[in-house]
Amino acid sequence: MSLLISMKKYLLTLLMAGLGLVILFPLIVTVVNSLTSRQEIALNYASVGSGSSGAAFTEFVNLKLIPDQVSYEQYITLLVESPRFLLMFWNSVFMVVPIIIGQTVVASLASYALSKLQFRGREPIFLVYLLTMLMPFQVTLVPNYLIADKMGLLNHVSAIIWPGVFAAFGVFLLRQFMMQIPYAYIEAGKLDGAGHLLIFLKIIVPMIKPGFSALVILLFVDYWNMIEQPLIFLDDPFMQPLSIYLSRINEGELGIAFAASVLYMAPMVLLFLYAESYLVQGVQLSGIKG
Amino acid sequence: MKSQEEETNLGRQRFVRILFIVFILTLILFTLFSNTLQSLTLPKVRTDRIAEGALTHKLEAQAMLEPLVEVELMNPSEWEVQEVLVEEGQRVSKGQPLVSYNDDAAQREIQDQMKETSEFDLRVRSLQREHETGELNLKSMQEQFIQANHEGEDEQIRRVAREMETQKLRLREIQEQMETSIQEEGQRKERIQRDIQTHTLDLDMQERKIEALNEKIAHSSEIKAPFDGHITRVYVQGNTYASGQPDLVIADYSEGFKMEVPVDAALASSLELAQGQQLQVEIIDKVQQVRSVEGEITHISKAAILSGESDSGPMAVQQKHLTIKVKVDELEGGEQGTIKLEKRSRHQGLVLPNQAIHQASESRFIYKVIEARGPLGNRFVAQKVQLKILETDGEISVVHSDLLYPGDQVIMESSEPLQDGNRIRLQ
Repeated sequence: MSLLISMKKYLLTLLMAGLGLVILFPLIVTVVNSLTSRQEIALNYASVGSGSSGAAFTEFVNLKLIPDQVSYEQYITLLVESPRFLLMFWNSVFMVVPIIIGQTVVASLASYALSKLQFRGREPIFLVYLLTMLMPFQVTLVPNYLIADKMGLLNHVSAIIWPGVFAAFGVFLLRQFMMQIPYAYIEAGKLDGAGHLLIFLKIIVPMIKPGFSALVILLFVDYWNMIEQPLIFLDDPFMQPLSIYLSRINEGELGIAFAASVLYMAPMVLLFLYAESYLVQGVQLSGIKG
Repeated sequence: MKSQEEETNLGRQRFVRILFIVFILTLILFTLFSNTLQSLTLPKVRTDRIAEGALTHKLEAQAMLEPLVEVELMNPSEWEVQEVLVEEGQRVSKGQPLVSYNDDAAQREIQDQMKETSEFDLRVRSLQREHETGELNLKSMQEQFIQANHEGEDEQIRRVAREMETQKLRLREIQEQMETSIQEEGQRKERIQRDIQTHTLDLDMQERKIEALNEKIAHSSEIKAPFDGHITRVYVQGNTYASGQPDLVIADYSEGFKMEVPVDAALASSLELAQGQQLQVEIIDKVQQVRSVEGEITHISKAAILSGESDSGPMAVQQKHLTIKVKVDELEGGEQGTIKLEKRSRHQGLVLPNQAIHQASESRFIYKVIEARGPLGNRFVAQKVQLKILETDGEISVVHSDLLYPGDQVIMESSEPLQDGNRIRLQ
């Protein structure tokens, strides 16, 4: 019996290791290639993007996990020779950080109201929120554009920040977290004479910390990777975020694309590593209580 | 167990936090200093601002002044030089003897001829004498005959024809003799007269010869100055005589001086030079004094093709020669004359040094500096601008381009070959 269990365990470990490898493989390739010299990349990936789809079947990419010669050339190109990359990096930062802060504040307050306050029309309002969330971005694109135009926000970062701040996802996620908190906590607070703000700050916020972590990570991933919004709302190439830069790297600059990808995903990976325990905790919490 | 897990978790969090901060700080560092770092590696360029204007065609040339009228005096009879009477640079007046020649040979010839003449003369005279004697002979014969006749008559009377027969015989004899003599004498006389005539002709010829020789001596024993002027060159030295070379060169300064200046045909036409045009000539004389005098272009030669080498390989230049006449006193020839001509071109446009203009097959272009307002400070970028050259001299061109304006910065030199859109570092 125990043999069967240990066998099962080994098999599972093997399966997981294989799966992990499949998931990690592109990341590893990206990091390795970012440290390879431009010539070597051009040589290895000669058949990539050559445009002849027929040839792709006969030619193989010379995939190497250890470069012939380690080179920081790509990073130097990105960080020293093209200020555009850094500009776009900071553009991304200055778009994503306000959205995360704003949406966290707004969504936490809104979800408190929608989960813990009793008032008429609470459920219909939440339904409307849900509806906007369920609709794909492309559907709301035209109205969003028209509103941004009327408000004079076009070609300005606020055209991206404000819709981000008031997006429905945070409300939905945090409401789900808050629904797990028994009403008794709030009543206890009320009995001790606390108002709604105090209850929110002192009781609710500490309790949904994992929820915040999850929200921050999810929002970061979402907005760090956005492409359509900046493309549509921002004409000025100097205002556009890093995600656009990556999508516009030419075929000839394959090496730069690898280095740019590494720098692009670094904040995300670091953020995930940092908040991973909170995220897991949050998921666990919601799981246990649910 | 739980706390240990939390502890490793915290440790990892701290590590990730430090990593994150390092990452962000690195990016901030590069953001602030990448421009500075990069500008150290950019090609360095030297620029100049372009201005509106026109090309000024300039001709500055120096040439030696030579006398306008210069005559080469040749040795007239190729005789040995006896003495050179003048020096180079000496002023001479008309008729002044310049070189004397040794005429001994001619004199000897005259003497020979004279001797021959006198011989002829003597011969004529003797012939005449002979002629005269002949006449006298004849006369005496006639007298003899008359006498004989007379004698005969007297004897007839006195000696009664005693010797009449003999006398008659003698008379007949004498008469016959006389007839032959007269005949002979006539022939002789004719011959002598012919001889005299021939000799007289010879004599005349001889005399003419002598006369010619005398004339030659008078003419060739020295060279005289044909006009008031200066001796500019003396070729003869001592007694040596070089065939085919003049002995002296004499110049007439009063007619003025000339200088010959080579000019590029293109420049000549740009300057619109014409025959008869007046211009200023600066003359540096022998005592290094500069003065400015009026000159006149008297002749412009037809363009001649002059082939030479340039940086870009062999090239042919069309060249003309200007002859400029300067009339001024107190010159000696050999002074340096300088002409300076300037003419503003009629083509108005942007003036650029040729150094800045590049050529690619047919088209010409320059690199202009554009100040791009970058996100991280201003950047200077080289922009390629096509242009048309309206006019050019060796160094500067007048160009036209819709994309160039006065005051634009144009790249003259760069430390590395440039391409359109290259970032550059201004010097």
